Amino acid sequence: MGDVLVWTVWGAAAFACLGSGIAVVTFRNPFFSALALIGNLGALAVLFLLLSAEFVAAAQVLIYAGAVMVMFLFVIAYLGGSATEPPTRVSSWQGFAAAAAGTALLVEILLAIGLKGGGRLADEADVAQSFGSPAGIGRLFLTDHLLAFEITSIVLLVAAIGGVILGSHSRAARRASRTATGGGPQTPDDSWSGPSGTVPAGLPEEASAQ
Amino acid sequence: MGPSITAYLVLAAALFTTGAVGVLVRRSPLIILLSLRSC
Repeated sequence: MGDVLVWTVWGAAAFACLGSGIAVVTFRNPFFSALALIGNLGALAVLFLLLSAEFVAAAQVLIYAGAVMVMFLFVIAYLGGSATEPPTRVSSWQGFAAAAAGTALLVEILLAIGLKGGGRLADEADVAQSFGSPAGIGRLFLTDHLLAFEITSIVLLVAAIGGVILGSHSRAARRASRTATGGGPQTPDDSWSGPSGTVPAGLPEEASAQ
Repeated sequence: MGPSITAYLVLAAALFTTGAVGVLVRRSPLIILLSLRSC
């Protein structure tokens, strides 16, 4: 009976996971894609629970489905229609970096398949009973991996500060362009080179009388 | 006692495939990021 129940829950979670994953890719509206991704992450959390990984399941819901997806929805609401526009210009180094990363991933997969085929990945790991529990993960964070944990927190802090700085720069640039288009030349260097007798947009009418 | 590791691996491969298709096919950078996350 328990076996049937586990299989039923697994089948429902797997179906939801695959369906929402396909929805993320196929939806045209990024807002609906983000909502589908929340469902995808929730279904993944159920699968983690079935694997007795309670901490990962909780983190999946709290961090990814909660914090990260809320951030995605904020970005979509902030960018509006421009969020779906493809980049107009891709530099050559980006193409080279993408090709290098793709090649590295392919080599890694081929190596793993080759090692598995040769029987060199068949060693069983010695997993303790407390592996993956919240207490065990917390202890590892504060003992063996303390440096990596603190470096990660600093990286996140730098990313947050960078986001604020980039956001303020883009706001300032937008404000300047809006002022330039709506209010005419802003500096003495912005000379008008249009036909004589006409007034550029934003300049007062007295400018043509001088 | 529930699904074997093979069932999880098959599901993971299918999920990875959908995400990879999204990254390769879609042109919107935001959808590409969402597809990457769903991998």
